[in-house]
Amino acid sequence: MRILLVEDYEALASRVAFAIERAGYGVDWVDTFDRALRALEECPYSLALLDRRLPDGDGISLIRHIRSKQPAMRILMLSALDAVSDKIDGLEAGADDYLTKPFSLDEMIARIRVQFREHATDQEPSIELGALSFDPQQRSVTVANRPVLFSRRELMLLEMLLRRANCAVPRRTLRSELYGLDLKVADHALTSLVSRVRVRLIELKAGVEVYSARNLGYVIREIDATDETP
Amino acid sequence: MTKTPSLVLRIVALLALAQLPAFLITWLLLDSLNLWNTSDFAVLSENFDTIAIWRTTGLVGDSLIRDSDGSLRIEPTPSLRAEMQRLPGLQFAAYDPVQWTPLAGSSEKLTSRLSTVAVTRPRHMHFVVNDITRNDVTDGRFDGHLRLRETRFGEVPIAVYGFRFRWDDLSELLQYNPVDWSFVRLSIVIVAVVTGGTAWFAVRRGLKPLADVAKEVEHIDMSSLHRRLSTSGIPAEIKGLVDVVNEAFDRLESGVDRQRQFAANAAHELRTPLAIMRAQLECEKPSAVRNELLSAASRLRSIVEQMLISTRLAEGQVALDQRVDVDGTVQQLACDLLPLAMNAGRSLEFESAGLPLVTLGNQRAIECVVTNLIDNALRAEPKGGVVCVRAEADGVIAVIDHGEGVESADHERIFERFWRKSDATSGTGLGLAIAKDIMDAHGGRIWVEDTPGGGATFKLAFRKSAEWRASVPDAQT
Repeated sequence: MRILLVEDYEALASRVAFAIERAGYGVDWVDTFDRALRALEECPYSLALLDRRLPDGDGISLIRHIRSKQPAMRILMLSALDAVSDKIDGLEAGADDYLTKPFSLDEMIARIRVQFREHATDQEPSIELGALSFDPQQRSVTVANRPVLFSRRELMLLEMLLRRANCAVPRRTLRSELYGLDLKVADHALTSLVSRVRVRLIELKAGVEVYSARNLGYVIREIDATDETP
Repeated sequence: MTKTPSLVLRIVALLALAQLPAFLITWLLLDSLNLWNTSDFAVLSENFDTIAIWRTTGLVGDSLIRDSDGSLRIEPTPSLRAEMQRLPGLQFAAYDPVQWTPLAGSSEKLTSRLSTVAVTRPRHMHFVVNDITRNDVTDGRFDGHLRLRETRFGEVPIAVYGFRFRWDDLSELLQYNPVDWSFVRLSIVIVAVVTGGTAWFAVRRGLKPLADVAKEVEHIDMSSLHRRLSTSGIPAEIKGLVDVVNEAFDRLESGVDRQRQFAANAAHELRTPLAIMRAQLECEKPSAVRNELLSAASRLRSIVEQMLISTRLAEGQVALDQRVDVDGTVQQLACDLLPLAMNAGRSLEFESAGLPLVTLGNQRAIECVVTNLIDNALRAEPKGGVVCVRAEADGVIAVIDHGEGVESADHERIFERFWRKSDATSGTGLGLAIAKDIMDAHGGRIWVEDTPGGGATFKLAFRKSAEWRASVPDAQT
């Protein structure tokens, strides 16, 4: 599955493309409105990352072309335009999400993965973090290429954390996705679920940790990333 | 303490002052015109010397003395002698007030001429003695005068001839027509009161356009710099001032526009390089340097966002009527900043109010303020510490760190632009000042307290919306 990146600043585009490839997706980068139109004629894409300010036009008008040619494609707007109205413009024109520059690449990848989770495709690549790998199609987990079994809820939790790897997942999101609305029960259940998964990951030497911030949420990330601790 | 001078008072005072000389001059003019028309002076235009009559008869009157036998006679005083010396042709005579017989010392020539006065006994008489010295009476001029003159011995008929004008006659004239000072004083008081009163009223009314202009200027501030003072119906004298003020506003507005545009452009331009920098850093292998640079990039981003929002706020381009759930917003921001905090070896925790705190304001502006506070707190927090962000049910957001804290003397000053404790510290730069601007614009409040046990607690209070009040019936106080 391929992602089309429309961005005229090469220095930024190359890093964004690098991050996308690292996450396991194929990426085509174009730097003008015209080239974007041509790319859309030639190749099917699962998702487009559109900059609004292009040398030969407003990225927002690409949305119409995309919708007419490849209706299933997901669209993420990238822009340095600042007013909230620009965000609303983008979403009203049919974009699925909006990132304001400067954005975090982790956040960008997380947003892309969320798009694919909500609109599942059959070619989605595995999510890799440390020695851990999650296959979205098979819904299976391997650690250092050895299959590992998790319960259904544990798997749901891992998927949600991994899709937003290195970004925080708010506790309330996890709670409602995993348990619905019964808050009292959900809070305790979520806490014990997370601690179970955390212990399993340590036992498995998965090379990742689930970091918790009280009342706020959880972050899954590689243990090496915390080289702040001596 | 200098009192502001009042223009009204000044003009009224000047008007009143101007009335005084005007009044005096008018009075003098009228009086002299009056004199011109009265008896003695009707002939003034013909013979200036007649003015000397009063003085000359006075000199003669002063020279009267009473002899041992009781009869009066003329014994010239030094002044009369001096006058006789000045005017060799001067002749004078005095008569007994009862019998009208010439007194001793009178000029023979004169008394012989006036031999009939004992019969007619005039009180006041002009006469001609043309055959004494001159032959020029054909033009109708007279050169002699007789009058009853008040002396030490009562009214005495005194005749003079050959008198001549001297400049000090004018002062004698004033004595002859004495000024009634009490009348003058009264007039001045009346004039002053009437002039003052009417002038006060007139000037106040007259200066009203000035007060109107002042009222207009009062309503112009940074958010309404496009306004101009209206020039229709403005008096010509003020119009000059109004035009110049309007021109000054033109210059000010274009200057401010340029500044704002510059700030907006600068902030805008900075975003793309920042995005590139951040993307590059994120692609680097994890390291302490990468984390530090990422945190610096995040701070730069926060400053750029603040500059933009502050510019927009000054331009009045920020919609302040959006529904913003403060509790949810703060939670989301804390989530977004959590990875950064973790990279820096700090943590964040959040205590929710447990219900939406809905205020009316600008989502991005509020995000800016909260991000700035959390960012500051993360930098102040010692390594391994936890910054606590708390939304309280009364709508106060608290960002609590355990760093060095803020000295109580500086609690107010840290919200000033570019305040820093010392040159050695990095200071808070624009951040807190802009945060304060934004909170002011939202009708809210920002302040700092001490964290129990050490550190700073920054607090934000937002204006409660009707929705908020409805959702928290107990917390309406």
